[in-house]
Amino acid sequence: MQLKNYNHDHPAVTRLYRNFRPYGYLSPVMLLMVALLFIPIILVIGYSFFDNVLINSNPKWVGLQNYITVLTDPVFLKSMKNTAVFVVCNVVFHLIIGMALALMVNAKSLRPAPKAFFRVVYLLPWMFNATVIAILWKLLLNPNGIVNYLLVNAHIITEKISWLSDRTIVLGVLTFINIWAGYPFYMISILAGLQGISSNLYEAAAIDGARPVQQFFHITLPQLKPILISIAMLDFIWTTQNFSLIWLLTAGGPSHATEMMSTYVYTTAFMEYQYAQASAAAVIILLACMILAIFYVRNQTRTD
Amino acid sequence: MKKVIALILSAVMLVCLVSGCGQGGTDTPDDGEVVLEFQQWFDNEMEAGYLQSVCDAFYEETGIKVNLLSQPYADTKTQLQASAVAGTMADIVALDGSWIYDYATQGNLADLGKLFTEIGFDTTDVSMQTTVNGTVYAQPLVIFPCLMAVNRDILTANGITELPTTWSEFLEVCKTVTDPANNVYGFAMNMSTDNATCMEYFAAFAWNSGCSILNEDGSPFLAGNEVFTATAEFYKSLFDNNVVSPGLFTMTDADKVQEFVNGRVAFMPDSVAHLTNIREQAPDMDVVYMNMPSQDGYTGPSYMRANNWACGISANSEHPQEAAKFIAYLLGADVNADLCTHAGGFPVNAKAEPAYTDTSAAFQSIQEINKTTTGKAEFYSLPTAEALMKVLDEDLIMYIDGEYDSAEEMLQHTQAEFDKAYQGN
Repeated sequence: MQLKNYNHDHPAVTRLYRNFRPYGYLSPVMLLMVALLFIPIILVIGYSFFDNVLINSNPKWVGLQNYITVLTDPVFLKSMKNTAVFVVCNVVFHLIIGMALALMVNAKSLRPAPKAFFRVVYLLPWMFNATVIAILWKLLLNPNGIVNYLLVNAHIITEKISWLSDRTIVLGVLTFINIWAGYPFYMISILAGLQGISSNLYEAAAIDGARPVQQFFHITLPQLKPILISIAMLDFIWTTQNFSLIWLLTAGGPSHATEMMSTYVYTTAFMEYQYAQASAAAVIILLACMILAIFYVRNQTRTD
Repeated sequence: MKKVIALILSAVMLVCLVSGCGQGGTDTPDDGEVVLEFQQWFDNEMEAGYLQSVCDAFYEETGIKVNLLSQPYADTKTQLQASAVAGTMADIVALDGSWIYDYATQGNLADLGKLFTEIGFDTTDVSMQTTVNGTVYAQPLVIFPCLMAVNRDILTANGITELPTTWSEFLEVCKTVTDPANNVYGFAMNMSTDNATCMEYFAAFAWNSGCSILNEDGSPFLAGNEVFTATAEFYKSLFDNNVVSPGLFTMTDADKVQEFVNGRVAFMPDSVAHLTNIREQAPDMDVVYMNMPSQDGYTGPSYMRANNWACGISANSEHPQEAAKFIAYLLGADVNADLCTHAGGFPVNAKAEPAYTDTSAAFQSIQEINKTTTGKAEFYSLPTAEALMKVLDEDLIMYIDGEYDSAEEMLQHTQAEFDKAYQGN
C-alpha cells in the first residue's frame, strides 16, 4: 500500500485522503457483501411480490398474494411446526449434552490422558459433513442394520423398526441424528468458557460451604451465560436453515412427516417451479432468523 | 463528506458488480471456430473418455468443437434450472423426460424440428422424438427400458422356476420367497420423494395392464380409472402381506439397488442402465429381467416404462444450427449404435445395429422384452411432472398407512392436485 504518497500539503486533499482511506480498506469486503448478501436478499424479497417470477419475462405484481398462498398451505404450516419441534429439541438437547460432556472432560478428577482421549472422541461427530453423517446413520438405521439387530437380540424390540420410514417416529429420529451431529460445537464452546472461569470463585464458594450443585447454579451457569446465549442463538439459526442432512436422510418424507421450511422452499422452487412462492417462504425463514439475529447482536453488544 | 464518499464508493462497487456479472466471453474464438457447450450426465455413466472421443470425432468431421460439462444427474438438474432462470443455458443440454414440458413451455428450448429442417437432417430413421404441443423440443438418443430385475437365485432356492406374469402370481411368489428371519423379501421399490419419478415404476404395473393415466385430450385421468385404482389396491396388498422390504417409504434408488445386490430382494423395478452396476457388485448373482406383472385376466399388448437420454438445444444458443448438427451426428446409424453399445441401452435410429457383446441371460432377457413391448412415459406430458409424481407418491404412502379409506378416495385427492397443475398451466 503506497497511499502515503498523496500530496498532504493541501488540506482538502488531506481531509479527503483521511476520509477515504477506511472505505478503501473496507471496499473488498463491502463489495463481496453487496454481491453475495445484499443483492440476493433484495432480489428474493422482490421476487416474493411477483407472480411467475424468473420463468416469465413479464411477471405481474401480486402484492402479498404469495405470502397468503404460502401461509395457508397446509404443507407449509406442517413444515413450520416440524421445524419448530426440530429446532427447539436440537437447541435444548445440544445445550444439555454439550454442558454435561464439557463438565465431564473438564473435571479435575480426570487424568490428562483420558481427558484428551475423550475430548477427541466426543468431538468426532463435528468432523463429519452432512453426507457422511447421512450415509452413516442410514446404514446404522437400515431395517436390516446393526441398530435393529442389537435391539432384537437384546429382546428390547420384537420386530424390526423402519426408523426412517415410519411416519410416527421419523421426526424424532431425524432430531436425534442432528443432535448427535451438533453437540460437539456446544461442548467445545462451553469447555472454553469453563476454562475461563477463575478458580478463586470456586475456592471462595467452597470456603463458604457451597456444595457442587450450588456452585454449578451460582457460579458456573452465570459465568457461562453469555456463551450459552450466543451458541443457542447461533444454533437456532443454523438448525432452522438445515437442509442437506434432512434431504439426504428423508427428503422431507415420508409424506411430509419430516417436511421442514428449508425442504419446502427447495421443492417449491425446484420441483414446482414456483419461484415466487419459494421466495415468499424463504423471506419468512429470513424474518424468523433475523429476529434471532437481532437478539444475538443485542446480547453481544451488551456483553461487549 | 463521509456519507458522500460512501455513496460514491457504493456506486462504483455496483458498477463493478454489474460489469462483472455481464456475459463473459464468446462461443466463437477469434479464429472463427465454433465452440459448443454440452451439459449432461451421460459422460459419468459411460466409460471414462468415451463421450469426449465422440466429440473429438465430430470435431474432425465438422470443425465444430464441443466442450463437455459433465456432472452427476442430480447436479445437472440443479445447474440446468439455475442456468435456465438466468438465461445462460449451455448450447446443448441433456434432458430428463420430466423436465421437458416445463422447460419447453418456459421458452428455454429451441424448436428442434425446425432446426433439423434448416440443416437438412432427414429424421425418417429416427424412431422417437419428444414433442410439446406439437413442437419437437427434445431428441432422445438412447432408450433404457425400465423393467423388473429378478434375483433368480432366491427364486430357485424356493423351488420357483417360472417368472410371475400376473399380479396374483407375483404376490404368491413374493409370499413364498419372503423370509424376514433371514432378511429376504419379495419386493423393493424406491419411494423416497428425493426423486419422485419412482412413481413411474408404480404406474408401470398399470400401464402393462392396458391402463392409461391420460384422457384423450391429454388431461390426467386418475380418479375413476378402474385399472389405476386396482393397481393401487394391488400395491397396498404387497405391504399388507409383508412381502416388501422394510423402509420403502424413504428408500432411494441407490438404497434399492443396494438391497438387491446384497441378495435381500427377489424383485426390483429398475432401469436397465443399472445392470452394469448390479453385475459389478454382485458378479455371481443370477439376474434376469421381466416386464411388470399385469392385472389378472389382461391379454392386451405389453407396455413398459421407458426412460431415455434426450437432448435439447437452448433457446439462447448463439449456434443453434451447429448444435443441431451435433445432435444429428449422435443420431447417425453408426454413431447411435456405438453410443448404445457403450451405454447399454437401445438405439433411437431404427437402422442402428449396436454390436452388443453382452451375452448374459440378463441382457438377453432385456433385448427380448424390448422387441415386443411398447415404451410408455405418460407423466412427461404433464406440467411440473416431477412435482405431480411427488403428490402421487405422498398420497400412496398415506393410503398404504391407512390415512385414506380406499384407493378411490386417495386418487380423488391426487386427481384434484393434478387438475390444479393441468388447469393452471
